[in-house]
Amino acid sequence: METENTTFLQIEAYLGKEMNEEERLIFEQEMESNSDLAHEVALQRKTHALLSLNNQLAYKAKLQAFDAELEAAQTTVIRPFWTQTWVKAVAGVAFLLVLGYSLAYLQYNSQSIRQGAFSPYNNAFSVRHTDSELEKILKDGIEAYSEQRYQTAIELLSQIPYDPAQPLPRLYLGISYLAIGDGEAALRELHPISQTNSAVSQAAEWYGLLAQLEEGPTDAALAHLKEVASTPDHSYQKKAQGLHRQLDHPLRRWLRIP
Amino acid sequence: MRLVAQRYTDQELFAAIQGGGKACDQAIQYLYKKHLEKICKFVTGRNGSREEAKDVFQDAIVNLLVGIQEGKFEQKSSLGTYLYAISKNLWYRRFNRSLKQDNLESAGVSEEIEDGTPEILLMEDHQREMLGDLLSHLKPKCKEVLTLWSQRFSMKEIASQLAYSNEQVVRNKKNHCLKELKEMVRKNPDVQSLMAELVEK
Repeated sequence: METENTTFLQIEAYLGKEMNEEERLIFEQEMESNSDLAHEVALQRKTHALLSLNNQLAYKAKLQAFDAELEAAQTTVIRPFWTQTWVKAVAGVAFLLVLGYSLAYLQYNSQSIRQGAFSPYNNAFSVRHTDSELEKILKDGIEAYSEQRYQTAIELLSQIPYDPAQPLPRLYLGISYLAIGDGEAALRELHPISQTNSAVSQAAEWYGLLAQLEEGPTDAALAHLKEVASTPDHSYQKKAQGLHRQLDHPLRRWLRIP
Repeated sequence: MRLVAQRYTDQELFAAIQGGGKACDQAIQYLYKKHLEKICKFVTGRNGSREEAKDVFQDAIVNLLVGIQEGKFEQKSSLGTYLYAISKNLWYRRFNRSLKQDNLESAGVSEEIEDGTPEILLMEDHQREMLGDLLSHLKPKCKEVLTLWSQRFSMKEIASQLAYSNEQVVRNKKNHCLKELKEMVRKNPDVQSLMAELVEK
């Protein structure tokens, strides 16, 4: 896994022309003698090409949108006299303002609702005094988590191997990722805990759910939220019910606001 | 509505496009607004429509953009002259007009400009759909991060636009999402051959 990641990053540096001359030559020699590496480079190059194509389509779409904007700014609509009353103009502007404000409010709110549902899980873990290096890292990691220094907590807690019998450090690691907005990484850490029968599995499921929503309120995430909201013995049922009520707003659904 | 207030020299435009991100968006809007009417005048003066003119001009700008960002563009004339020549060539080719109907010299272009064709122009509709379909399997956040990254938005700009706490988070996220996309490409031989075909052209 580690090796795969290193190779991926090396290929990124090669394709992104971030290697110096010496590194590039060594890498190219390695490619010549290692067909697996050459295959991976070709595949990664195609992935970049795919994104570049997508870009070209996106830029054309941007230009079309900009053209429409230009047209709208240049078009002078001549209306019959009876439609040009100031009352209608004012009403139109007021309507647009209200509509714009409502849309902006709903959009802002969807994000803030998701973020508002997050509150850090209280630290219930203590590390006894020890000379072990790993335990020292764990102690510092827990301390950083308790003080909401999440980036430091991530750096430290990610060094602690996962122990299913003691899942709290991994739970805090997942929550720290969530706190800095990296839903994907949070989900990766929290999912295994949520599948166990430990005392914190429901907490892991709840924070994992928030991580799923952070990645975008997909149908699957909303279905999961609904499931937790309708599970009577779930410790986070009430929180899930509140969040589901807010996110599943009919107007937001109708306007497809994420 | 603010529609491009800034003025640019060619060097500034070149640098903005090369750098990507927001500055690039503003530069291409400037180019579009500045030169569109000239292309429209050319096309409508030869019984073409404004829509045809806009279509080819938008492709000409994408062509310029790809050329600059991939380091394939050599600046031998002003960007305006280049865009004008590319738009004309594209219009003649796409709308099946005869070059004999017009004299390039009299239209104010004193040099022939070789235009590379942007890959999007080579794509069939079903291939565009295939591409869109593949990307639609990415999670929305992943798609946003990769789109901005490939449009050369800086890690800082992406962090600010997508509310990430810092640039390192964005870097990790981009690598993670790119790996996901690479795995999708690995499992899809049709996309692999399409990419190979277009990149080789």
